[in-house]
Amino acid sequence: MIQIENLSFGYSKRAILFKDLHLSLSKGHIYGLLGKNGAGKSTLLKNIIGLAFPFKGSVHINGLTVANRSPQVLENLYFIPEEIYVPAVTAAKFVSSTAGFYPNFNVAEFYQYLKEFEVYREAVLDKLSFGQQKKVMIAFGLATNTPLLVMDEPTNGLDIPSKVQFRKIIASALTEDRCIIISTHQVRDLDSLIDTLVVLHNQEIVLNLELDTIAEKLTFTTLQNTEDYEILYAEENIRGQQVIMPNHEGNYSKVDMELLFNAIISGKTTITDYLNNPVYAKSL
Amino acid sequence: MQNHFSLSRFGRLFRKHTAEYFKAYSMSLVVLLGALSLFLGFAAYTTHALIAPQQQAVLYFIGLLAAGTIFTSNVFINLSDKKTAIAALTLPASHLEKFLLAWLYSFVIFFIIYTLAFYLIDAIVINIDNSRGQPRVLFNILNNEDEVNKIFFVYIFLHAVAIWGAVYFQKMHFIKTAFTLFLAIAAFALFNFVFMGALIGKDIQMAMPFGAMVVNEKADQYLHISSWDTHQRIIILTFILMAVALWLSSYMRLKEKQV
Repeated sequence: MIQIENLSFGYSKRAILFKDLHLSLSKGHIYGLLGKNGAGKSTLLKNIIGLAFPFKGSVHINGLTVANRSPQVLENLYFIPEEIYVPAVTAAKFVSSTAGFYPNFNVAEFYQYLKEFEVYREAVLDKLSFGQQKKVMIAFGLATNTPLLVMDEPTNGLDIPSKVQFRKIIASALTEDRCIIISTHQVRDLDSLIDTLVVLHNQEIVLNLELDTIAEKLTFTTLQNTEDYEILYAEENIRGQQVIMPNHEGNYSKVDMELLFNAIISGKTTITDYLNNPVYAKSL
Repeated sequence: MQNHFSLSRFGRLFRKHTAEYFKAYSMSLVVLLGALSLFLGFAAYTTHALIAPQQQAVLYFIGLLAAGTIFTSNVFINLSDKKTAIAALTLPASHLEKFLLAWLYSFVIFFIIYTLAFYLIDAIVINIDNSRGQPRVLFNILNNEDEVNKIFFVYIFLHAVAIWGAVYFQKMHFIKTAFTLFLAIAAFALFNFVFMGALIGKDIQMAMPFGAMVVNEKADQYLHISSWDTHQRIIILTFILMAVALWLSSYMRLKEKQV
């Protein structure tokens, strides 16, 4: 669905954020885009939706150049930025004036999402709290039913119950015709939500793998003693050592995204080398 | 073509913009009515007779140029803030439709609203002012006897300059546009002066672009060269062509806008 080829971008030619970046994203997935502060997550998203233009390379959505920002491209994507703008109208009025731009907009779904988020539909949007405004825009974005939904730090400003609600609603909104990209630095907010992890680090996409594939290749566990184990990465905590090890036995363990992310950005390339290269079963 | 312009999509864009900015535009209209009341009231107070139709026309155009350029300078104000710019640029309408909407509001709709507002306040002021036996006559915008209407071509040009500045500059649109315009005029006038001097090979006293030229002949003699009728046509044509070029340039700039 999204093809990023050879993309180089920087706000000036001296400060390059991405260099010759390649990325391919498909429908039917919820991608979690992770990266350190300043790694360029938001900028990459802006390149993906045509708000920023690369100085080299291209971004295509279903074969169409995104940088042209043609209605054909825009009506098939919805972007919820970290800092949102809402006009001084009610949610109902906003829907009546804006929904028409999105061919698959479902009004009933929108009001259902608002109900689940506990937002009053007749409230004037700019009078709502930031969290409430964000919920309205998330509800609107989901109800557009665009094939591509991009969210930048969507859980910022949401309280804990709303984050739970957010995860539930997003999971239910994923269809096989839809691609959802969520960028965040709060890794735990994506727990049990995303199915594919994309990590942006040092101007490159260092990881783009489904969680199932990661779980097939790695084991995440806590050990008291790490001797005699093949440890790829370890972090101490009060219960012992949180570790990442090769999964030679084929046992399934839940991917600890925070630990994996820390391992990737620690500067050691062991984990990414291991994940991005084929793993062969040991011969008997 | 559908990707560049669709009437139904443009209609939707127009309705959305009107719904979201109705309150702000209504307030602006009240401010305009207030400013015109003060402006015309002051003119009536300081004139010992009724304001003559020709004076009314001059006041009308002064107000049009001032209010029109200020309004147009802010027509793309949503692009100056990151949050509103994202909402505006990702809305599924073409750049052409977004530009035409701004053009329609700042040029056509503003002109109609301003003219109606001016006539309303003008009629009130003329009717309540002490006539001292004079007939109470409102100016006719369509009457071109005094050629004051030609200022309308200046308005076209200044609108184009203002909308260009509105897209081009990120902040303080009106001030920066006015500054750039004055700088451009000064540079053009200087270039014209030097160029004309080199062209005719004589000492020139004055040579305004598209205007008269004064050439020093002897110590106490000078030559004044002008052809007002031709100049007027050239100036009007230049204003129109430059306006079209600036409108096109603004549209292209909108297409290149990044957040």
